[in-house]
Amino acid sequence: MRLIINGEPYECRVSPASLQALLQQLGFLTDDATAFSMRFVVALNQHIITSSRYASTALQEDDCIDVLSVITGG
Amino acid sequence: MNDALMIAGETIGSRLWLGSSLYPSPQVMSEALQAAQPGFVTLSLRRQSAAQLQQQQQPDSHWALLQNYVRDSGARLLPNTAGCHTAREAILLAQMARELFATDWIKLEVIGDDYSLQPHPLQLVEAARELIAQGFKVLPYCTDDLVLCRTLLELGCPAVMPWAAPIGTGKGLLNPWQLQTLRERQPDAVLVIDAGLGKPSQAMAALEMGFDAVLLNTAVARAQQPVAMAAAFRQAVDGGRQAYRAGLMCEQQQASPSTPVLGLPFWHQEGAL
Repeated sequence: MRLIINGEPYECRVSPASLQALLQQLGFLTDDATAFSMRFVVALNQHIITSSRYASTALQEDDCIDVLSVITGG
Repeated sequence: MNDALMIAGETIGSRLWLGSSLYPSPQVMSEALQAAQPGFVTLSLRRQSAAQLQQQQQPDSHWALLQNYVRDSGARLLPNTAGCHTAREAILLAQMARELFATDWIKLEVIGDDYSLQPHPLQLVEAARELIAQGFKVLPYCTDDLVLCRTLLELGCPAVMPWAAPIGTGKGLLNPWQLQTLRERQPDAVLVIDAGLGKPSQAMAALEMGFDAVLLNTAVARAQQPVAMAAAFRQAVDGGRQAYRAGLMCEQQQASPSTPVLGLPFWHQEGAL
């Protein structure tokens, strides 16, 4: 499955069953779906997906996933 | 007398607001925050990898130290939408910021020109209208245009934040007449000078003029000694506010002696030595 992750093409060898599975593949979530206490927010095709919906959100070819987190700013 | 700064029904602890970017190190940022004691600390959000996120978890990272400061001081986080060029981009980034930082406060930035980083007035108004409808407390970074500021206030922005000069230039209050007019024409609005301040004296001048607060970053972060500069800005903001409340004298064209002339010594009298 071909996805766009943070603006870059990403080829999945095994199509993730859900957004949660993808976040686990990428290292944002552990296998038990906790997040190492990391703070991040996810948008799928420019719509926010809250953490409670990661497991129930299916992915499709060419979906764009953005994972954002804090940086310093003025 | 109570001189608390109130915005959207909430008390903001200081009239100096500070950005978290461009410091030589996270530790210097943390110490500058301690010295400035800002009411708001600005920050932002960007795409990141899992490895970058794990870096953030280190106890000496920017984010860890910023969290510690906010927890201990009661300062508020003010996420921004820096880098957005359209209302659509800014709205999505604001929504993501609310999700990430659990706050309705947003510093709304929509840039209309990449050289000057001048805000785009039309996109700004469009984004502000939508975000206010979604329950955000929108603090827009805008130009000093009176009608634009008034429009943003009428939409429901609890404050507006006109620039003094382009971001990062340190040029100070480039158009004092316009800023003074804005203050006089919107006497009850919360007006915050955002961007372009380079010296504590410029922040003090803004407060003396009656602006309610100042937001700055580069002037502190790029100083040779950021922590000392943060303290200097804090004193300047306090002094400027005290001066404004004390009531400045009116400028006059003609000189007038401050020492009484009554009882002038005889040698100044006509015909004397």
